[in-house]
Amino acid sequence: MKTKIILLTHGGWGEELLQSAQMVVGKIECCETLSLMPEDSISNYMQRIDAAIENAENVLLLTDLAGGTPSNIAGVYAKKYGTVYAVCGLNMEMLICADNLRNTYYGGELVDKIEIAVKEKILNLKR
Amino acid sequence: MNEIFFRVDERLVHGQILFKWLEHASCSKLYIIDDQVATDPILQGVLTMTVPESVEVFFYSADEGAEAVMIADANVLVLLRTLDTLWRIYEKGTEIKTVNICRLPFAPGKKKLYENIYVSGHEEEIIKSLTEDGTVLYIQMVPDNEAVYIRDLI
Repeated sequence: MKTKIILLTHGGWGEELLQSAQMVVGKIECCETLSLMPEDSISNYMQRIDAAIENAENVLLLTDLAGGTPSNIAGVYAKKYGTVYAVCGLNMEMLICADNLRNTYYGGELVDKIEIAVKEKILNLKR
Repeated sequence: MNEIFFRVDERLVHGQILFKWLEHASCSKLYIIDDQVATDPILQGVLTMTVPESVEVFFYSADEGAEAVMIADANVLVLLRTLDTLWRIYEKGTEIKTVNICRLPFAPGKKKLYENIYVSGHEEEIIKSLTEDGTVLYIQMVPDNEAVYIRDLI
């Protein structure tokens, strides 16, 4: 069963990122975005995350800023639930890599592969 | 004389904003005072991960926190999630000269005091009581922003 990818971002850019990524690679299935708006409370956000992970066997949370609220919350879920993994530092490369690699890997291994793949793609284009 | 810097933010520790305040207030210690967080080791672990290494983090319940602040031996940034907790440590005798209020989320029944700041009748009472006692409450997301004084809003 496919790992469900959930994007947790400050504001709505996760949804925009998903739309743009789909322009490049086509439809990305089993992927949801949850925007944390300035007026949202943490408990409300967590209720939305609870609903999103409820029927998923394996979950991968991708969050934007390390140390930001979405990442902090994702960290709590990742530590609490054995089948939930979380990575911060979201960019389009990460989303596309995650979508691709989840066909072959899951859990901790999926996270390790994503980390390596994304870091390799941060390049100085002047060279 | 050690400076104690109080900040009320429902989101507690979050990245860049916290770093700016820690630097601005020259704090080497961070006290997170909240009954719920004090008994949640998972959340404590996550919050600790995001704090710079040069800063020591301590987690306290409201009662323990009040005492810790009173005997602080360095500049401390005190983070609270709610005005309720702020009031509880105040009632225990903590001196609170200024409070930076950043974010109090919306809930049914709450009225908007300012951007991202919603208060219940009870919370408004707390603000009024503290203001009457001489505490200065202000809204300022980051040190670069201009402070908005709550006494001008209520």
